[in-house]
Amino acid sequence: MMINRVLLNCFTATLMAGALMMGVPAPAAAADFVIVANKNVSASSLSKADLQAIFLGEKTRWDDGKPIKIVILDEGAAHKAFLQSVVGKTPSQFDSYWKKLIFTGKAAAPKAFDEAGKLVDFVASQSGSVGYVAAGQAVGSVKTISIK
Amino acid sequence: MKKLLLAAVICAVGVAAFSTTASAIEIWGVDIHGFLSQGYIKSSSQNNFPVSNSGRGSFDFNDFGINFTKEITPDLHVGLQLSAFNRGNYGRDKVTIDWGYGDYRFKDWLGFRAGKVKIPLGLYNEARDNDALRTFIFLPQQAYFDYERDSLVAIMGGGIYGSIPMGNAGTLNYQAEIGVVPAVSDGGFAKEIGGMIGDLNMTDISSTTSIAHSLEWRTPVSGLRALATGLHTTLSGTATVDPNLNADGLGGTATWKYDSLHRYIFSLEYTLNDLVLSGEYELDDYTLMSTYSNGVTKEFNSKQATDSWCVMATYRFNDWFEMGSFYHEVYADRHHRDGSTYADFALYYPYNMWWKDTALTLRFDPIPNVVLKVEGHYINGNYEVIENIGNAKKESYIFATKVTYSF
Repeated sequence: MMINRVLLNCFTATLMAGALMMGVPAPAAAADFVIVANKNVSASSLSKADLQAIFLGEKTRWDDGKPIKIVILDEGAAHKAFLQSVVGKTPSQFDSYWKKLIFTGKAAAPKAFDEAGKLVDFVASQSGSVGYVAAGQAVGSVKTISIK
Repeated sequence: MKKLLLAAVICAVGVAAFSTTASAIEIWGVDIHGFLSQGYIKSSSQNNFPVSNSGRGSFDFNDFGINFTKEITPDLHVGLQLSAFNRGNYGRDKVTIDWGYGDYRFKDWLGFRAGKVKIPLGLYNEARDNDALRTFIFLPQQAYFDYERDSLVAIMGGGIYGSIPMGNAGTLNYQAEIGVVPAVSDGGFAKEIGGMIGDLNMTDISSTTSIAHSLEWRTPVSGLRALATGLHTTLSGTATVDPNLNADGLGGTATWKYDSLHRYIFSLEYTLNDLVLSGEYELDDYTLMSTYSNGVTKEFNSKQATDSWCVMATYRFNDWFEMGSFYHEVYADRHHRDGSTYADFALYYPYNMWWKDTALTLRFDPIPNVVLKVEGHYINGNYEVIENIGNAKKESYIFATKVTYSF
């Protein structure tokens, strides 16, 4: 019975810890990152729902039928801000979500880069690709897409 | 085959560990991923669950797998995962094709899969093999029963899937599969059914045409999703009769049927930053039957109506530490939750008819791709204990720890 009480208390503690910590992460702003795409992508703006569907692997083609290639950063403030404000997941939740797709054979892992410059170079060279970098890191070789 | 798979996983782990990202290997356009997981478990001495000899403490508690996927065109890919697990008297590190199928996405709202496909049951069934993909070591057992992992987790056949955006109403993701359930006669599931009927050792098993379905609604409320999933199948086969357990003390052979299983799981998950709250309700209806060749033993026929529910909470404190807990109740007879019908089920005590499990898990991610977990369970009732339920105690505990490397 003692163990039961301890475990029940821990269950409550998990909930309370979560509730207490809710205020800690500052809400990410769209200004923290910019969406970049290959210049042959016809869209110049996308809704948040479209971007969420794209980065969850649910939307795999642009409206003109060309395949979408998603590209992500491995870590960093822009990575966290983009995932939390657009995809609605923390980096660890996003990582876990894609691993579930990979370990059930449903999708291949998105191409990931540890540096914004490499991501931008890849997007510039790959037709249909889309990613994100910190604001100010986009260069003329790619187009930027605004969020509707 | 077992040694070959283990060698392949270890080699791949080695390559992944020295690669720059330590996350995947690509050879000739084939993506290779895998996992290697070893645990230790200790349960109350007479409640050997879910590892056969866990009462004494056991290292017979591992999982490993490796998968290969190849994109043929942007719309067509093929893949295969080999996996194995050990839980003492079942699993036994036997290498099986966990899933293997071709996938053609015609449109985002309609795709086709053919081959061996994991059944989309509840929040966790499809990806339950890889321990690193969740917080808990043992998931709530009724919906994710370890004994059923070798048989009731995949369908061999074909299916459709898709994603339908609904504007302000969110997104609907669906899957439907039809085929046969590739159950095995020497696995944990066969042992479970043989044990429920009481005196059978399964020698053959096959399924009728089976259907699985899943509907996920990603609601307009940020972080909230709801799932309704189901499985419908009938399994049957032959068995030898254990004269020591047979009511008439006779051996011989029998035919058996696990008839008209209708399993539904309804799930709700809410994510708020690092806090994830979820709950699931499961409903199972089926009939167990057996007929005996000896001409003396009466036909066995038992209609089962079970249900279960659970609430789960997980919270990630930082990059390397996460805590989770769940409470889970299972009832063998949902019309008599006090266990009063235990004699009708040929059981010994009312508490053989329920399972109330409180679990706490600490998960550590000390370095990329490595996960360490420590977990405790306090359990009241012993419905899920398959081996020697008559001697199992009413109250028990499980302590488990596991380390997993995946890439």
